[in-house]
Amino acid sequence: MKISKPGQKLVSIATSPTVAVLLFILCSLALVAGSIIPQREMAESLVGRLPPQVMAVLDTLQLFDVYRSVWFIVLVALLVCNLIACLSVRMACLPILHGGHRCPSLPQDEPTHTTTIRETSSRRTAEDLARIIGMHFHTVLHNDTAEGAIIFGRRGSLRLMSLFIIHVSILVIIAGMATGFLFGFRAYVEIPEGDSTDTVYLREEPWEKALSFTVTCNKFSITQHPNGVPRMYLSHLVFAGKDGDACEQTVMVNQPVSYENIRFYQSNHGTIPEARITVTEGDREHFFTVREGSTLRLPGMKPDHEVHILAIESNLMNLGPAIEIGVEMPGEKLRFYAFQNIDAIREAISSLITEVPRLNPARFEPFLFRLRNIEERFYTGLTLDYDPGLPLVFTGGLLFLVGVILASFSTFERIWIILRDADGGCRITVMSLRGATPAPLAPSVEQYLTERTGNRT
Amino acid sequence: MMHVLILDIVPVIYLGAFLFIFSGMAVKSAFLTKIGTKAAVAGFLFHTTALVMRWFESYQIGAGHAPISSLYEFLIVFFWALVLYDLLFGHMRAGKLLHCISLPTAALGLFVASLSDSIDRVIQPLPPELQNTWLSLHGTCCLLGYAGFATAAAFACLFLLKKREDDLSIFSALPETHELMSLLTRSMVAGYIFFSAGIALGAIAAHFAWGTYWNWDPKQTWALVTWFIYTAAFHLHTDTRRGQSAMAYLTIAGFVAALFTYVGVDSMPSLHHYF
Repeated sequence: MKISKPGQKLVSIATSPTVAVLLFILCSLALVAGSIIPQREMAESLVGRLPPQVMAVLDTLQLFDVYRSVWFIVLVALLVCNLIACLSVRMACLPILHGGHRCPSLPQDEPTHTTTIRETSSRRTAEDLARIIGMHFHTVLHNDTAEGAIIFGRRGSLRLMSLFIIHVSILVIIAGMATGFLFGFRAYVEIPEGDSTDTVYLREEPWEKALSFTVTCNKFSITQHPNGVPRMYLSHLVFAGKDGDACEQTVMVNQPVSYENIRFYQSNHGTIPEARITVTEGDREHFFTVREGSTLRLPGMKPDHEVHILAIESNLMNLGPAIEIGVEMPGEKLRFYAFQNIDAIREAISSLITEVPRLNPARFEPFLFRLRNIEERFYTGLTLDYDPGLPLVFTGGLLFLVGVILASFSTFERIWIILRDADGGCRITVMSLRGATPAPLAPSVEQYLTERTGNRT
Repeated sequence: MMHVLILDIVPVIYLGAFLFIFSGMAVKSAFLTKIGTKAAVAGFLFHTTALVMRWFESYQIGAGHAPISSLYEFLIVFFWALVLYDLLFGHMRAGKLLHCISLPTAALGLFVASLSDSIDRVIQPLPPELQNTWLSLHGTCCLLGYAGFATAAAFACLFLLKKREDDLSIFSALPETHELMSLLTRSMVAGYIFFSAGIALGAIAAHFAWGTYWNWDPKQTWALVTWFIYTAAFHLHTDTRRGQSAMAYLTIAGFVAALFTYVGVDSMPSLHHYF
């Protein structure tokens, strides 16, 4: 297929190393901007520190979300185009793909050396040179054309192959990243010991994601080094599918587990307060274990009444541990506290409870609330990751390293020798390239030509 | 803590080696240069032994990790890698001058690591998030990469100075530009391989630790900036003087970016705050 002149120009620009260098430098500058300017929610720290006009300009230029900005994506797309264009050129150069027995044409604009050997024929000289080149180059092609005999030698195809692999690997990595970005998700969940969940939280809208299974944290534990430094965090999890099958796994830091192609990572941990309370109604006493945000259903309570645990305080107003209770009734809302040390408080300030209704634990009649004790309970923080592009990214990374190592230990050398009969002898034009740059001739070729012409090439 | 004692002595050996080599070059005495080179090799062997001993000791005390988890350990491994490159390239004709750059730099760095009160030399057990073999490999490869880039930057500076020999005749004693360019390329290639491997291993470590191989952490981002700069350098045509100069400048720029990746990023909020 013939390419038109403007097309040739476009291909030449697209495959130009200068364009590649320019794109690398532009990408670097974009990354520098992304690392220096606070990104996304961190950008809020700049409010008040920078004038609103500057903030508006930075926002318009999408500099608060560089890695998702249109211009950065365009930059990456241009890099991909450049890679594809270079790959197509390299593919054409790959000897194993190229095949055939025709000598490739002499590159333009590269220096050649021309000399003349007298009193010999080009045919005989060509045979000699082909034999000498065969000692140094793995592939030797010999064509007779109207312009004369052409001998072409080539060695180091591994180098070409490795450069091809390097460029393919970058495309594979980018494809893997794009796949993960488009079809994967990353979420977070905190599960207190003994609790289950089937909902996790995303960093972006729609914020919540329902799982097709339930995760239960049976136990969270920390092991320690002798000097008290944590050695390991472990979450003993149970995954239960909708079909009722359960699977028990332990997730540790640096040792994620996988369930239904979603990986679970030990991300963080902490404790949450848990209160044990009693609710007395007449001569009946009910025991509950509650956390902040718990809703209680008390026996005998009207259906349109709701009791919520609003807060658990370890020391409220220096009167000791307490819970804050909220009651919602039609047309009325109550808020009051139940203290652990209520007897001691009554003894010390007998009028307090009558004067301050919020301190009266029997405010929601006929129930009397009493805090027995507060315990700290572990929760485990898990990161969830589903990334269908991951195999591509790691394959690309591996290919890249293999390619770079192969490229470092191999060279690609080519030699063209064109022989024509002229002036009662043989006129020889030689070009030797290592990679894309001119290289000295192989010593035996050099010696052959020097011996016959008396001149060093 | 025998290894600490050895690591206190090693910079003295490096400094002595440098003085012998420098004197040998100044008075053109092959004997002095040879003594200096042998001293540098001896220092390197002591240095290596101390690293192995420290590693072994960390297992004995129950910490059990490669010596690459604190600032002190990063410094002793980095300067070990720098001397390794020095010994690899310094035996070449054009590379002799590298001894006069790498050895005093390593000696100074190790003196600082040994004498500074703010650098803790005690082997500490690792927190769970750092107990990852991939992470040790990542750190080692990155440091070997940084050392390769430092060596390449040294050759780049020598190359640019040599180019000014017409202005200042003192630079005419430097090796020829094509020799320096060859050494620059070799050390850059070595650094690039290790640094690329370091990035890949870091991505694997991050995948196991954080659940994502890449999360635009400032250290990761700057590592990518460094990688882009060196990748750009590899795309330059070095058969012209202009191309060679551009490569030398990019090599120096890449090393500045590598330095920033190593130490500068610490001022930014980062998941690499342990290092």
